[in-house]
Amino acid sequence: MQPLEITGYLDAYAAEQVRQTLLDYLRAASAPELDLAGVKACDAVGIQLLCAARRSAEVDGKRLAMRHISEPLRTVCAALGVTVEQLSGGVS
Amino acid sequence: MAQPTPAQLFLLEADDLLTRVEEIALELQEGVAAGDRIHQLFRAFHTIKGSGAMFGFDAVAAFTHHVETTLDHVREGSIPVTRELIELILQARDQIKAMLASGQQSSGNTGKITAALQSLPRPGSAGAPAPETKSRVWRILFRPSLDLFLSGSNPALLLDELRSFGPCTVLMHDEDVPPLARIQPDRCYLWWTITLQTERSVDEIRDVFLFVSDESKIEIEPEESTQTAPAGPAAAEPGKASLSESTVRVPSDRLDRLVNLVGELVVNQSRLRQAIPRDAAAELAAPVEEIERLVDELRDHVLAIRMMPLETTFRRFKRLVHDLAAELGKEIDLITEGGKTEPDKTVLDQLADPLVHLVRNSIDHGIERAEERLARNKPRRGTVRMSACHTGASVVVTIADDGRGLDCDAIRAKAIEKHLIATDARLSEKETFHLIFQPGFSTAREVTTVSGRGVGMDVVKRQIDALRGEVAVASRPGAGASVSLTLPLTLAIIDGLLVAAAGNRFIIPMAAVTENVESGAAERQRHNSHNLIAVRGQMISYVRLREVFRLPGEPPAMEKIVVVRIGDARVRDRGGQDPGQPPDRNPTIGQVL
Repeated sequence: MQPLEITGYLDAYAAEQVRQTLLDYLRAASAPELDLAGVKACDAVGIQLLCAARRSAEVDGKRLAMRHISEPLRTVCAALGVTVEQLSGGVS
Repeated sequence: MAQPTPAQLFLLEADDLLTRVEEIALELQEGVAAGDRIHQLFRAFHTIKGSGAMFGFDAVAAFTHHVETTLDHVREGSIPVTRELIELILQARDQIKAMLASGQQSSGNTGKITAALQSLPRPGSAGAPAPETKSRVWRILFRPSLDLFLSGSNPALLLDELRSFGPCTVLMHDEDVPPLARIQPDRCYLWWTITLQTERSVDEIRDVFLFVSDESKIEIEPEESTQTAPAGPAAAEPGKASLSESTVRVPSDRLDRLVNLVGELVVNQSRLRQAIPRDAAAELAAPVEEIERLVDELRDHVLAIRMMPLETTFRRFKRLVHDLAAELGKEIDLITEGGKTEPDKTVLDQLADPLVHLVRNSIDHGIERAEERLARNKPRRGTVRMSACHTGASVVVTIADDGRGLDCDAIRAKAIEKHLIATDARLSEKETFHLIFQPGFSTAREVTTVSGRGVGMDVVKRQIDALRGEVAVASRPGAGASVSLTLPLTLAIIDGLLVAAAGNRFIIPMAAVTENVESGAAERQRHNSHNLIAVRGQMISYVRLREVFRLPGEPPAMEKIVVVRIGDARVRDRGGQDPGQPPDRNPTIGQVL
């Protein structure tokens, strides 16, 4: 299955829509993978949603990979005190 | 009916904060230990500054900044808490209030107050050891409430502000984040631990969390346990969130509309009940009864929303007493009792002015100067006591002082001089006291800026009359005077007793009715047709509605008499039939018959 591309805004306003998309994708994918190169802006709500997606995959016995993390996303991770590796489950 | 704008909400919040500032300043003035109060003052001014700048009140924010800076020095210990400082805080508070009220037009004393704040003496700078500025390491736990995102707070900005204080390690914890299926994205499940090395004080660190602290768990602790600095204020504040009451601000005109609607509902429900025949089928009678019960309950709840504790009104008088005592060179304590008593907001709003007049009079005319008090073997400091209590459907507010009391001879002489009474008039003590409520009456020998212009007490009487209240005066020469105001708890909806005579209906406020009795022809003859009746061994006279209103027809053989109590007097209305006790909205029976 193709990686899921998340583009544009990953913030409070888009959160519910992204949650539904992620839920549908994770149910279908056996080796889920997110492509985050297109994330233009993100906030704490978005980061929390990615954490929830990782948790959902773990509950289903899968590992959610996160690739091509965009610069804005990295900046927010640094501001909130979480590394990209932690976010994608490398270190928990 | 429009929603208040954010700027209007800020003005409301600022008003609350300024009220609190005044209370704290007056407590400090009374000698209450500073303790956390300086921090509370700092936070209040800090919030006014921050929110003021956010909503365009730049002049207010700029001025408040100077007050905040001074308070920062006070909490660091470099400026002591002195009478001068407290007076300046009160002046600054008044200045900000004036600026907010005038849309920032009134910048009047800002320069003077700022200069005075900046020139406050700092004993710490004259050789005493300066506050420790050594860099320390703090461990901070920040566990925001679930509503953090909903309140518009951005944790990244808070964390950035902490980073600006010094080397900082931030660790985000996502253990509590639920899986996608259960998460509510607008709730915050994340929390943080932070290690911060800084020269900043624990209060400065705490202030970073000022706008989220009410609902969040914040712990700030020095990393080494051997730290010498007191950890008191840094300790967590358990249960703080649970202390903040859940309240909603509603414009009072919305409440008024609601009360009016409920009033209409009550009246129509009453008409409905009147329209139902006594022998109506249960299918009709039962739901009408149920509606009556629900409407009564609704009425009680809606009226309760408008009930406001008197303590908010009482609190304002602390400042009045403080300022007036200083102005007149007197030493006075204000004691308030029964602040939890709750009259209707309408009553409360109209009560403030009369109370101001009464308290001013007590301070100006009643309480003597310290030396005069000492000469009379009285305590040096005078006392003004404001108390409130419920009695039936009324609330009684009493203003009492331990001053010189009312001077009967002086009142009488003044009343004769003003041609209010004849020179040979024979008045009881109570009647003499009531002369002070006559328009234009004043016994003050000199007109002061405080009272004594002869416009106070008659205005008090008029305002209390307008509220359908009563004023009672008591006094003991040399020992003090008291004025009691008896007011209805609410003016919105009043239970009335509906009576009828010759087909006309009259309503008597239920609160005034003490009992209903009947009188037959035999009893009337016993009293020689004088309008008298024996009620529980006491002869009381009555009036016939039929005669007072010149209604046609003969009275029934068995007449009904309603005994009412107005003030200290008992009065009787004599109706024909008694159609029941429907509630009546704003009934006006006019003068007692």
